[in-house]
Amino acid sequence: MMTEKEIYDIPQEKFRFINLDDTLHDEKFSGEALGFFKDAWVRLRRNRVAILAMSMILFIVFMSIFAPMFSGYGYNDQNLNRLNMPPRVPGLEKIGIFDGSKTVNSVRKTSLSDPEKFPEGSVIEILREYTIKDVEMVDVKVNAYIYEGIGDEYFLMGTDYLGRDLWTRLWRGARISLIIAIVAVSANIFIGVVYGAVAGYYGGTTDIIMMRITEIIAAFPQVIVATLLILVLGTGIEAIILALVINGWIGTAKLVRGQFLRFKEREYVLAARTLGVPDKKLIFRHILPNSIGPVITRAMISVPNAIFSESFLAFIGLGLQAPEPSIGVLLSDAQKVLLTYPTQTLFPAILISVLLISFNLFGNGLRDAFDPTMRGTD
Amino acid sequence: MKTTRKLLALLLAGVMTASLLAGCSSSPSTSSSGSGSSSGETVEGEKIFRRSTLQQATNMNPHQGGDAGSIEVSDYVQAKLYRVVYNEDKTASVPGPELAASEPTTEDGYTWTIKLDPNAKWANGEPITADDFMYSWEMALNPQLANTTTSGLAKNHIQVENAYEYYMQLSTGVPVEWEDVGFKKVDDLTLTVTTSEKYSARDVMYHFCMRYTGPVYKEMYEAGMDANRTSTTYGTSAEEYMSSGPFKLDTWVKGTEVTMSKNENYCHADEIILDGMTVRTVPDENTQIQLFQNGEIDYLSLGTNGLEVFGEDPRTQEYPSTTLRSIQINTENPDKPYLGNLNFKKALYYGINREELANALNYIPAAYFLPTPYVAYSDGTLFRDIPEANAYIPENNGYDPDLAKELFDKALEETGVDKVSITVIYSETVPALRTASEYIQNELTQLFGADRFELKLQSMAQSALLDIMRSSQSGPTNTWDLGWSAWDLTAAQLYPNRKFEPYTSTDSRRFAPYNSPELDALYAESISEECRLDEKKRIEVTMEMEKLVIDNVLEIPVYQQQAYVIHSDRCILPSDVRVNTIGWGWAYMDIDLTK
Amino acid sequence: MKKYMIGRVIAACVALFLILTIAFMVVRLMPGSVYDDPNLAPEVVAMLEQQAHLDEPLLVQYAYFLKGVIFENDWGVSAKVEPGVPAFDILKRQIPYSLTINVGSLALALPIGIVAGTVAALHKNKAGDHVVSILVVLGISIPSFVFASCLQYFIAYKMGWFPIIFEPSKGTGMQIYSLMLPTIALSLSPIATIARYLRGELIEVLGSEFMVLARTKGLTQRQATIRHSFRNASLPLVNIVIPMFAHVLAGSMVIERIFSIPGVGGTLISSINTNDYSLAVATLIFYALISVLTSFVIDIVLGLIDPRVRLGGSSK
Repeated sequence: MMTEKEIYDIPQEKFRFINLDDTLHDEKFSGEALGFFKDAWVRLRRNRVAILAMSMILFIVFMSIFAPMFSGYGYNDQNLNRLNMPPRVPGLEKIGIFDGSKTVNSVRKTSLSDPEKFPEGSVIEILREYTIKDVEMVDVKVNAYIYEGIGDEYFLMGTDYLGRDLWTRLWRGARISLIIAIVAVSANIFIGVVYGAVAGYYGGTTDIIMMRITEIIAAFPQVIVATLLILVLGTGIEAIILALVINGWIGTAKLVRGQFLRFKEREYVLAARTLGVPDKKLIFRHILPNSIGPVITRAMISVPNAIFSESFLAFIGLGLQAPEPSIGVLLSDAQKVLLTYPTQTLFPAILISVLLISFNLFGNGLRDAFDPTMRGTD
Repeated sequence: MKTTRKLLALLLAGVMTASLLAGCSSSPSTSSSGSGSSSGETVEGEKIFRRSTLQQATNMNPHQGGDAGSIEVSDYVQAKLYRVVYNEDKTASVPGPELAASEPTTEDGYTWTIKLDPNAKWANGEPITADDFMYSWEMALNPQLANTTTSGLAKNHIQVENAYEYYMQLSTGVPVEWEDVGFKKVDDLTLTVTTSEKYSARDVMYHFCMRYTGPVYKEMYEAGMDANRTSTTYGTSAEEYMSSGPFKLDTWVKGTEVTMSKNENYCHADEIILDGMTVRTVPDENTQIQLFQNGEIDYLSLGTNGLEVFGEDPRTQEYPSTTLRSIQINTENPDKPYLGNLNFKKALYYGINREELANALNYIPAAYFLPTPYVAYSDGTLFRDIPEANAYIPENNGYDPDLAKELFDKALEETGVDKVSITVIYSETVPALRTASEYIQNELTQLFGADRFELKLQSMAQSALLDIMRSSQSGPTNTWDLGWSAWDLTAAQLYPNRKFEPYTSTDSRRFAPYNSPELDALYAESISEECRLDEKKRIEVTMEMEKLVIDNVLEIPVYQQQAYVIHSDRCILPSDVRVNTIGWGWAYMDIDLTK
Repeated sequence: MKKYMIGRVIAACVALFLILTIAFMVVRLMPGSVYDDPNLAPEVVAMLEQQAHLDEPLLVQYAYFLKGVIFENDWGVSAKVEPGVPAFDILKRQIPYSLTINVGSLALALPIGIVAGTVAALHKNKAGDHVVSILVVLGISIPSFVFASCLQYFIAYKMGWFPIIFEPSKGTGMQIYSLMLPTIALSLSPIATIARYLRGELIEVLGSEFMVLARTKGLTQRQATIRHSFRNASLPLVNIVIPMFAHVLAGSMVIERIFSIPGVGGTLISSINTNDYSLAVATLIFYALISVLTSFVIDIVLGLIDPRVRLGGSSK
């Protein structure tokens, strides 16, 4: 160990130049330079649940595009000889589920021996025998495909009140519901972001007036807006999208406004303003990116909500123009026969649940991925 | 009652939470009066017929509320001068006196004298006199009150002198005094009605069978009147209504339940066996089925689900409804001249497979205009049961795809169009119309080819639909092409020729521009004095009219609705069959209390 | 604070007035006529409309309407849904039913939702959390009519534990008893929403520094949660529970239909579909009033809790 004195006493000739031939470099970044979205992607990729949810969404989108093409049935192919068929799935039918069986209630016992009504081999078992007004009655479980005499066909999800293949209709319905939801949500986000940004950024009287306006719009229930629009425009995809947009953007606007109120007083904004950055640039370049995370998350949750709203409208008779299906139209048709043909409700309900869960989980994943405080942490 | 409900609302939040904390499962055991225990022998002696309806009753005032829900209750609590009763073998209905003592009498066919039954009484025992009727009719037609359903009192089966003019005076601007209207009181038990044309006694009796010709209780009617005398609350609650029919209105919980009990003061009380009736409003079909299977209601109207559940149940009964659905054609659409082309209209008529569609809907295929329950003769013979009336209906329910295709080709050629693109509008409140439209769209497109024929569907509210279709009255319009409609004129059920009234070129109710001078002439003939008094002749003209409208395809009839119902074992109905205008005869039924 | 309150009251009044105006105009501009019986001759319809002042200019009609509403509480008479009955009376009769099941369902949902949310947060990523999560997903994604129909079918019809439909005339006890099932059906979605929201909030709070401090003070996890994090997490709950009230009210339509409850649910749709102007406007105003009131209450409550809300937004 050298003492402090010794260090001072190093003779000059002992020093020599190093790296004299090298040019001077900035220190290289250890990792790649990551853009905002790329960074988010990196983090999203590590979130297994979110990726699973995303795959699920992509799968549904894929199916909604291609399943109707390859199902072998058109979405409007009617056949009144095969109304309300139960589902029948190859393979699964062997283990007794979705085997094309259904219960026929209140059959006169004498009808069972009538091959016109019950063809050979259609009766699987007699569930209940009873007497009404001295007539012997039975409830029977039948193979509906033999019973209706349509033989070797497989309707994966059964058929509806006009004998249309529900598998095809479900995926086509999913496509339309998704289109409605995505268009409506995009419009909502756009309007909401601009409106909220302006209200939040300018504040004061502007903000108060703008927020009162949203309050007035929000006071009209969506059902009303939709009913009126459909009365004026007629049922159709446009009217439904408009109905979802008219008071759908308010939530986003409030969210963005809140973000702006939080961020506009920060020092970096003050600095930018002092440097003469115009309002427009301040709003969109400097403050808005902070809200991207919450806004995207909100958008993701809004998509299934929009599908739900569309279902509700269909349920009260404000659905799409027939014969076009949507998840809502299918659900509301199915509700009428819920207790007699429960599977007609089951499949659209499952699809809507899966969409809801997937979008929620994916939205959560995106929120974490876009969180600015997490940037570059991994 | 009102304060209790408010309190209830406030308390309930607490009760709910408390009951939940105590555990859901404990609540059923605390209340043993659960559902389903009402049937059985505990209800000794009380013969109550319980049924449910989809729509609620809205107004018992006979001048208001012509909706199905109100009529279903009103039929049992509101008396009229005349009523429909069973014929001898209980297979058909004939008019008979209710509050009147006998059939109306006349000397010239214009002035009718109606004697009141001296036993006619309100439910509270006060006598019903000629003054009650005079007051009721004056209020019914009162121009300031502007009652929605009462124009029929002025003219329906008969046309009462100056009555319509009196009713409409504020709109026409021509003042008419009540003294000039053809309703007169002679003495306390005698009324005269002067008609502007000659009618038969049957016409007069059927006219005074209508709900809106019944009496209202003056004291309550006046008490409910608002300050400007433009509306009255009479009949909007059980307390503000005085019954006069076979039953009296006891309680009425709006939107859910009406209870009635036998009216001992009714002048035909001896014919009534039941002790009372309960009508529940249950808008959901599945709920109704559960109530029926649980023995909580005695009667169920079967929809799609009901038919699935009850299938071949021997208690199920069916009967044809008077509602016949057809498609109107806007023949004067300036953008689509082919809509007025007869061959095109015929192509549509022959292109629809009514039978297959009707099977899927559980309805009756209809290639005709007059539905099956319409009565032709006063002995109860149905119009459609007359062989000649079926001779001109095309075979196979008007379905002939080859002919349709041929006609379609011809129509395109004649109008010089390559592709037909039309829209059919329908009311969103009738689910079967959507099914039928979807079916027809698919079927016709396949038949004519998608490259040449395109049919779009558009649903809308009933009121908007009427507005659009009637807009063609004021000249050619391109706002619509095809539209579903249903004519269910009550008068036509007994006078089938009346069905064609809205098809004449001057009738203001018509939907489409029909413009058929031949039909106008035939209709004028059918309501002439000669035909009015000679039913044979009237029916002949009616057949001619129907043949004419089918040949010219004034509209495209598609299906006639069919109703399916089921009564519980307790019900002992007066007749095995459902009789036109009487229905199942619930007023005269009995209940078997042992079941 | 007083100034803030007065400002909010004025703003709410102005909003209500504007809503009243817009509602009136929009409803009157709907196509079609209230007299939609095809058997009614158009000249009779014209006469009826004249008597109802429907042929006058819109502004004159509006003046009549405002005069009636402000001076006499006269909202007009229903023309179609319940002909001849004042619109105000119809709503006065229907609203208690709807409020009963709605308030009841929220009263049911709050404790259950809070317990479920807390359990899930405390057992994050353990069995309890997963059970709650599954229930939440089901609660949010099952359409209310499916749940209601199933409850009715299995619990009321098959098991016979509850009446199938609302029983109006067998005493108050029976009324309450028959309203329980619809209340339960209605509370599913709020339970799920509250549980999900609270779980998220609690997890965030549980991870914050003051909780670590609380634990180091020697409080048990349970004590710390209840004393500190719970208060912090439940304040934002105000933000979702109050608007939920308006939301549930709008969604009770289907439930009321299935259980035959004579509530306000279907009135809005039926009055609009039949062009029953007076009733449509009155119902619309009722829903608007609920919406404005909830947002007013939120502002006041948050203003009381958090002074930044009162001052924020106007400090540019």
